[in-house]
Amino acid sequence: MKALLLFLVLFSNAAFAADTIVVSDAWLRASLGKVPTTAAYFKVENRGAAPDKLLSISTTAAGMAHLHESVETNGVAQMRPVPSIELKPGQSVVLAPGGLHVMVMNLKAPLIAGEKVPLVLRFEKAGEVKVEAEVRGLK
Amino acid sequence: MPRWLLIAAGALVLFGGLAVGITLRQATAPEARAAAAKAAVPYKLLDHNGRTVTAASYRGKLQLVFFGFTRCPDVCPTTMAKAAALLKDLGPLAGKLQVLFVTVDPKRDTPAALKDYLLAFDERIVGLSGSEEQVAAAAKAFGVYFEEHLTGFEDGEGAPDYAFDHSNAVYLVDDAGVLLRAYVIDDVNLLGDLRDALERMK
Repeated sequence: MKALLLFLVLFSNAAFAADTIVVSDAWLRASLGKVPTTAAYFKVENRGAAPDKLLSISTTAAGMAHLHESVETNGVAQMRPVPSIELKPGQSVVLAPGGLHVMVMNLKAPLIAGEKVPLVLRFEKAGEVKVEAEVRGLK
Repeated sequence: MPRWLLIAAGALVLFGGLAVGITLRQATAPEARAAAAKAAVPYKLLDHNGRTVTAASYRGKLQLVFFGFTRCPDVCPTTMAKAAALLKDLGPLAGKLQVLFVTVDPKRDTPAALKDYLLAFDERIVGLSGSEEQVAAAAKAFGVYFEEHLTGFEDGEGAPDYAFDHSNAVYLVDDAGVLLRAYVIDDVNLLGDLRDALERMK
């Protein structure tokens, strides 16, 4: 009975998360030499009926991870911290090279293509959503 | 000699001199400008093998130059990955193109660190570093803007981390070391322009 309850709790949690916030195509750029910084990208979709907000991201692979955006002004590339990402019902946001990204700093070990790295995304309403991000090389 | 004559003579010398000066200036200005435009872009840096290089070091090749830093998480690797793709797309023609990555962060990007970083993209890409003064002078020569700022975080050693705003262009330098123009890496004409220029060099 206990096991069944636990199963139901886990299952319903998973189902709840799957129904509201869907994170897909999560990946990180493989380490470039010994550089302790990289970036993570993914698509996040709000399938719920209420707006939600992506607040923060963390990973056990690195000391820090922060939402950032690369912006270009008059030929100058700048990075701006992004405090949060709003998601209206039905809205999806894509983090991709050259724009919104997660700056991943102070990597604990170099990331090698093919590895899987856990990411934890924290949402205002949906709470924590865990995803496995794939490490992708350049070649 | 009457005083008025002295004044007149003086005025003649003065105005004559001015007139000659103006004439000379008009005659030499376009030539001087042309000469300056044809001069190699004046940079002196350290390549990732520890060799001092100038624009003349790559004479006989086109140079495609980008200014960035290795801890740049998004724009720099995206640009360099596209530069590596250009080298692949150019096939054998790429033998006459030198892609250069100039760090704006010479404090952290030593030649060895640059070499390590660039190997992940393409072994033909060469990293350039140097003293902060050399890097600033090179940036000025290309018309590149860069500015250091604190990120508000700590690096792995607990020191304040910093990053850079920097020009995102790639600069094309001809086989005589003369700066031709800037492109954005996504410019749809870049590959074709490079191919045309490299074919003309054969």
